[in-house]
Amino acid sequence: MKENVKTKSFMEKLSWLIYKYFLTLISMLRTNIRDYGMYIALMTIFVAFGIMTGWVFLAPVNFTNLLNQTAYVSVLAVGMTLVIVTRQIDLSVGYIGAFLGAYVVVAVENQGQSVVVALLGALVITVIVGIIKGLFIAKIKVPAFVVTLAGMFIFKGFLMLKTNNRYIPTSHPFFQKIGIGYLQTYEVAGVDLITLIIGGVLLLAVIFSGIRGRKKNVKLGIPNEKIELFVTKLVFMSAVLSYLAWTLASFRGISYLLLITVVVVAIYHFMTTQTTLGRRIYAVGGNPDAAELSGISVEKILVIVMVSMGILALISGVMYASRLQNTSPNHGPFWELYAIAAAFIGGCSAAGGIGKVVNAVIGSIVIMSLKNGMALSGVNANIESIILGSVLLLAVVFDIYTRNVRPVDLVGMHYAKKEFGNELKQAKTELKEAMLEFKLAKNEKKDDVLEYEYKVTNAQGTYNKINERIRIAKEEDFIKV
Amino acid sequence: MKKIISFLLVSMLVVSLAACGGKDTIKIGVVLPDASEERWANQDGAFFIEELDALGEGYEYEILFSEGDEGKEKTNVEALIAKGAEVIILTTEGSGAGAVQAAHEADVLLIAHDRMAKSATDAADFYTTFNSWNVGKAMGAHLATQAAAEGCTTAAPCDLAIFAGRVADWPNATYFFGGAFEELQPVLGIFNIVNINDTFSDVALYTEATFNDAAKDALQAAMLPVDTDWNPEEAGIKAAAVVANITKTSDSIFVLAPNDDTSAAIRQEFAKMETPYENYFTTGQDASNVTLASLMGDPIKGKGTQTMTVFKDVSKLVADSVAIAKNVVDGVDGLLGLTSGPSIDGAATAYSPIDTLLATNPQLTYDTIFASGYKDESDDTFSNVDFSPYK
Repeated sequence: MKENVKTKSFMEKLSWLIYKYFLTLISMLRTNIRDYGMYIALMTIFVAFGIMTGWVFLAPVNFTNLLNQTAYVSVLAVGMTLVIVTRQIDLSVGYIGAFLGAYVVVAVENQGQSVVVALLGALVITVIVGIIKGLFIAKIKVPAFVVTLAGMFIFKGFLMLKTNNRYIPTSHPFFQKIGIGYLQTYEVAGVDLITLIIGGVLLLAVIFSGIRGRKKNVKLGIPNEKIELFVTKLVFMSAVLSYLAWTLASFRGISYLLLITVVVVAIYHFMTTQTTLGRRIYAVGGNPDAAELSGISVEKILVIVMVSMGILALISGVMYASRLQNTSPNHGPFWELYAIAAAFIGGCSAAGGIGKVVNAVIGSIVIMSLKNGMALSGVNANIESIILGSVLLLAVVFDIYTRNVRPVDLVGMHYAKKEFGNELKQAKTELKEAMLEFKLAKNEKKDDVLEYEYKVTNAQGTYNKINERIRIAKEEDFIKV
Repeated sequence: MKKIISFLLVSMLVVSLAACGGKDTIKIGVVLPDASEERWANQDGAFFIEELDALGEGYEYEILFSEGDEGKEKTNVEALIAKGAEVIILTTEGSGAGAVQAAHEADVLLIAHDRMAKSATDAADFYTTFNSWNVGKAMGAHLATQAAAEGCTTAAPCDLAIFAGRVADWPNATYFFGGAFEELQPVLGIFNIVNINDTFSDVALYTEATFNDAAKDALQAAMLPVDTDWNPEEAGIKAAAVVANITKTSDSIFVLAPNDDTSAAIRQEFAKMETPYENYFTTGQDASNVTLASLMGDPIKGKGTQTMTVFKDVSKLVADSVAIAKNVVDGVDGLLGLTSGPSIDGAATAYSPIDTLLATNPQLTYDTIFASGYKDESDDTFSNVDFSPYK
């Protein structure tokens, strides 16, 4: 192989390198399609709405709006991911969130409590409610659907009582800041430097942590991903980060809504990927019985998940009330359903055990992009629900069909085809011949038809064997040769 | 399978692209509450298209619906601002606080159409509405005059049932109720209130001029137990409870119903009584088809029982909102050429005229509704009505 490559001209070598790069990239996409499918969908939606709205959709103003609009769903979707991972569902979060938002607003605006006291009060309520929900589900074994459906009705009532069927406007600076405030800015020529600096720091952090991770892997003897892929991913992420930073910086900087979302997601991402608690949650979701046998208290985990969902509902409710600058008996419906849809669009598995919080946020952005983009392009709003429903269904179907995707290495296959290509061709012709003979024999009703069938089966076996050898070929196998 | 999925995805995109009909930049934005409600889709929405199309070039517009979702409402307002709207006409789904903030932050003027939009510190720039207090007064006056005509006295009082709109629908529902109560309160002595809890007798007299926060609290406290949520089903449930507890003291019943749809639901419950009242007087507003049939004397479809409605010509309201929007785009005073009312919550208010239609005067109903072309007399609802005497 290698000598072959060496004898080629420079141009041929270059084109082979480019070809090989794309083969590697496509192999990775095909192997990890589950992880990337949603990003591709999001990009498609962005580009489609970009075209439909004359790129107003991606302009700084609207992009900032979009992220602020998404905030409350994202926070709920993060919690809902864990709920779904543990094979449960929570229908009560919409009205619980709206109720807790109303609780905080009423306490601050009408009862003159300080913000901290009001938030602590709401926190105590939501923790207690979470424990009760968790115990009903884990101990008494009432299906989560029923427990939380009951919670939905109950908290709808509490919301009505708390707001006394009226809108209560917010005026406290805390709500102003959370709902419509932005971080301190330092503008130069209409662009906020602070946002750019934060973006730059994040960018460097991403690059360095990536490189450090590779070094660590080398030290531990864990195989790294291919360098081409690593660089491509870094370039892609840098581009996205730079675009985000620039877009936000050229409008009004970073909003508190965005900041809270990012902090919540960061905490939950760390919790789910780096801590024992996170591992236990996924273990319980993957197989509750096995988890119980291995010493994990399933009951405790379920209660923790429900409490965490409740706390996020509190954050979400306060964000929503602050953004709309009032609390109202009409808040709450559909929040939980958006959160559930976001989690599923983000690749959560309905069978439990699978789902990433970051992807749930992407799912939320997909949902809100549809809402925002439809409004911006003046599309008949009735179509929005149809599209959202279709996307949700497609996402789940996609998830099921890609569940058992086998890894593939197109570069390896390319080498293997060169090496075994002739064998494969020969096997194929033999198979064809055998099949033809078998057909003839069948038509002529020969006595030894079975013999011919054996031949076909054998030929098929040989062919499959070679085909499979090519299919599982890896690049490393050939470089080492 | 993959091919099918990608085919579905692509075809979906194509559909959504094909459905795209938006303009890139606009001057006037309209946000209405819900495309699934007759009122917003086929009345206000249709009139807006008519009026704004008539303005022609230089007044590009776009109409969006909030689907009953306050978050979506703010998204819509933000989208219209991003597309360059200079003025936004909004009928809010909730309090409209978020929309007011978003508009004013971008220096966009906001016209609250039919419903006030305000936050704790800020409010819409303009407010177009029918004089809701006067709507209420017309209802109250109808019941009061009819009661006097039926010979109700303090010695022989007549039964009165009271229902209200959605308390949270500020200021409309409270103004309707307050106006009606201004007329009823002085003559409450000739009525026997049949509501399960009489929350009304102790309420003081308020007029539009003396209306203040204390009045708001007092009136809303009285309204809460009879809040119909503007919803016929809810109104029916509340009315059924009242009917079940009635001890008749007169042959006539007077019912204050907040609008035509709830009025229809309420009178169905009263019709189910073992021995129904001989005379039934009730109010309403909006001039719905069933009510109009009733006012025109249709004994079957309208049950011949609704005795008055307040007709608020939505096309006049829409014309007022569009006129303000045009003035804003033209850079002149917003209320130029309009009837202004008292400033409500700091918003300059334009009042659109209202008409009171009575069962005793079908000619007026015919002239206002059918002769003007607002409704079509060939509609199936009016099949039992003989229009010939009025032509």
